[in-house]
Amino acid sequence: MATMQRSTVPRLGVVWCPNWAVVAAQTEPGEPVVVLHGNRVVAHSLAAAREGVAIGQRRRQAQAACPRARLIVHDPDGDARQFEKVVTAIAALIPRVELTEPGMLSFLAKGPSRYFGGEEAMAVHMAGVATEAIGAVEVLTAVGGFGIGLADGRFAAAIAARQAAAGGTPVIVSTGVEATAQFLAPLPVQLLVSVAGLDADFVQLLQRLGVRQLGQLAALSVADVLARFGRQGEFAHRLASGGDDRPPDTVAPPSGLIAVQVLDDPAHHVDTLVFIARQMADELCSALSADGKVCTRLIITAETDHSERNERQWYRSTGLSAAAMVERTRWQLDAWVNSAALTAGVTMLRLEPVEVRSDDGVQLGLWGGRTQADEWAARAVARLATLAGAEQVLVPAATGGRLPGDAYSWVPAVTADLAEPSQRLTPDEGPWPGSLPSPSPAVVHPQPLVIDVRDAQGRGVRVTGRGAVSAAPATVQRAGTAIEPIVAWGGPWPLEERWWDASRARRSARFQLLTGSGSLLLACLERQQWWLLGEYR
Amino acid sequence: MSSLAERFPALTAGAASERTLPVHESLIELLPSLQRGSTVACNGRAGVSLAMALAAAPSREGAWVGVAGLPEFGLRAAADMGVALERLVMVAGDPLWVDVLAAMIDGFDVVLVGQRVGRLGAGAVRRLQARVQSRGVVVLTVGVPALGADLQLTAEDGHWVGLGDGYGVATGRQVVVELGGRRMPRPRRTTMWLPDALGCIGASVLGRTELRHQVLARSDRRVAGRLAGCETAGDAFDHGVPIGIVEEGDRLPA
Repeated sequence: MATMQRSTVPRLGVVWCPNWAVVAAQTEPGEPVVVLHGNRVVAHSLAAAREGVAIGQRRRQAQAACPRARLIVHDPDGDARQFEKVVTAIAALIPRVELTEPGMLSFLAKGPSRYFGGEEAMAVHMAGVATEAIGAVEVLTAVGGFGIGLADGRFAAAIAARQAAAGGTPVIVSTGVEATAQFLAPLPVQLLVSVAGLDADFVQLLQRLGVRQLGQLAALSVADVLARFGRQGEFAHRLASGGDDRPPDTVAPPSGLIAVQVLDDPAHHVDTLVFIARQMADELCSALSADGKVCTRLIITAETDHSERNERQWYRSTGLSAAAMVERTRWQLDAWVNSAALTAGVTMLRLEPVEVRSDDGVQLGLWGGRTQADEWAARAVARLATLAGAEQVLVPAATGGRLPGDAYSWVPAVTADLAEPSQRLTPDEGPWPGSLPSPSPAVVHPQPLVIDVRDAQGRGVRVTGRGAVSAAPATVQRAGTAIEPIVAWGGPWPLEERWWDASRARRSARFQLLTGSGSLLLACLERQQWWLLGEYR
Repeated sequence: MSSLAERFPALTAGAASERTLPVHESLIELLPSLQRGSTVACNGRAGVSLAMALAAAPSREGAWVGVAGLPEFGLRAAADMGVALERLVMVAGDPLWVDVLAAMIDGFDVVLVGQRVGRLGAGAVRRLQARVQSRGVVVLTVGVPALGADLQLTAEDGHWVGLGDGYGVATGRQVVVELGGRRMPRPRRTTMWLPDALGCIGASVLGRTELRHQVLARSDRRVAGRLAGCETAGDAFDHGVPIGIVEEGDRLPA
């Protein structure tokens, strides 16, 4: 077998602040603080840890261990914003900084260490800069300060940073594969989960098989590990033996590559904004692809005239295409509009790529991937959008609801990712109690039609507040057509939706009406008015 | 060479499976497959359901379905019928339909055309037909006689089951589907469920039993039939009489 060409393992530095969420929350130094997310402890201060609080505990356990602890709800955006200060300060010293998560960043150590006169000196300097950037140093003492680790490969460097944070002094692992492997050997394989993010089941299996330390894993032959555990095992083996050659894979995007659109006329509809986003995303993607880059992390920001602001970061490891960016804009804006009562129209929309990597293309599956038909269809959709107008070329999206027109709706095709429809079409699981069982009407009028339903005496049919029909419906008449007799009918099926929200509440009663000519209608009575929702044609 | 291929398409055409699109199993008896390049008119009261049923099988096998001039296309019904919604595109509004249809024929495998496309000129229709044949697209029309038809599918004699006089809910429709057209000297007819209790298309005899089972199985509370001479809901079904799903405590009609 030919020897495999090994790319060199990069020398990396990692700056890590344990329990960053506590620092970001601006707490008092000696105060026991517990940060909760979904009822679980995600971060805690040293004072709380001394009383027995640990990450992963339930809220009640944490409160039992430390009753006087201050409970804070986790705010990842706030964490990121606070950490930005540290990132900026360190980025001023070192060009390529990779923000791994709020509280942790990594950088290539080789050049900078020479500049600062040795790794030790750099680490000390770095810790000083990071601490200074926070401003209030005493806040940092609540969690123990920054840990700085230097090692070959990001796995070893991240572990070194953890040890440094616990010990209080920078941990520097000597360079070379042997030295790295030696450093890792006595450590538990559990670190593959918590640091490298490998599958917990896989690591549990390793433990059950008696492989408890990274050194034991490294001692196995690569071929055996590959045969037994596949690619994942081979990767874990490579990490354990100090050969983690993943470079800081992302780079800062070319400066100034931000798409901002300031609207003179505030936009009140999500659709309008999504179309604007489409243009912006197209421009961004063409600028990026001209560089051979693809955006993996994008921040979408929208702001209203009254400075209500919504900002969210989106990540996709395979890269965000223009369609994916637009779709994420729509998700974000929909969620924002639905959750907050906005007082003004949106005047600013910004798409900011914060992470790009070289576009190495995505390998499509041999089976079940994109086919020629999909390619043609995508082209046809683009052509149709120019012919009929982008708003008129529609694809289905699952929205969920009780009326036939609510379960699925049409969204403009240009704002949807045709290549990745699963998210768009995953039905809202509901349950939607009160929705009618199948079959559903094959014809659903986009705008319900006005109809007139009368009883045998010619009086309009009404439904009381308790759901009783005034009289059996006997005739139905659509605008501009003849009166038809009703031979069978079912209902009323009352529907009371969103009664908690006066502006969006609706009460209606649905009926099925079978006319003498054999057509079955789905009608509804709302505010004393009969509407034709759909027809079973 | 290319001109030769154009003049004698049969010489270069692929296998039979490539020249046809699949058909839902309940329709196979009536229509074994859909010839690529043909136009099928779906008429009658169940025309839209029929068009959905025809589009379902190709769509599930990877074909894209374009809908034109039918803005009231019911998505839940289509999904129940088996149309893959991830490969469905509709053009709404009132564009220049001839150009839009041409673009749809170029890009999709099945094009469903509804009444809203309005009047199409004779010359435009001829160009579209030629395009349909050269691209091997199947066109399903609902109420657009101008586009012509190689096959005429007509669903008539609709008979809804499950809905009574003030009770029940429609659980299925029995229709007689007739297949005729230029190439069918003698029309063929079958009775089938369109839609059946699951919103799908069901072959008549088998579907009837299945439907009965479905309704019986679904009546988690109680299925009651209101008829003279029928002891149980199952009997009612066998006699083709309306049945309602009645909940506990409901007043049964006299």
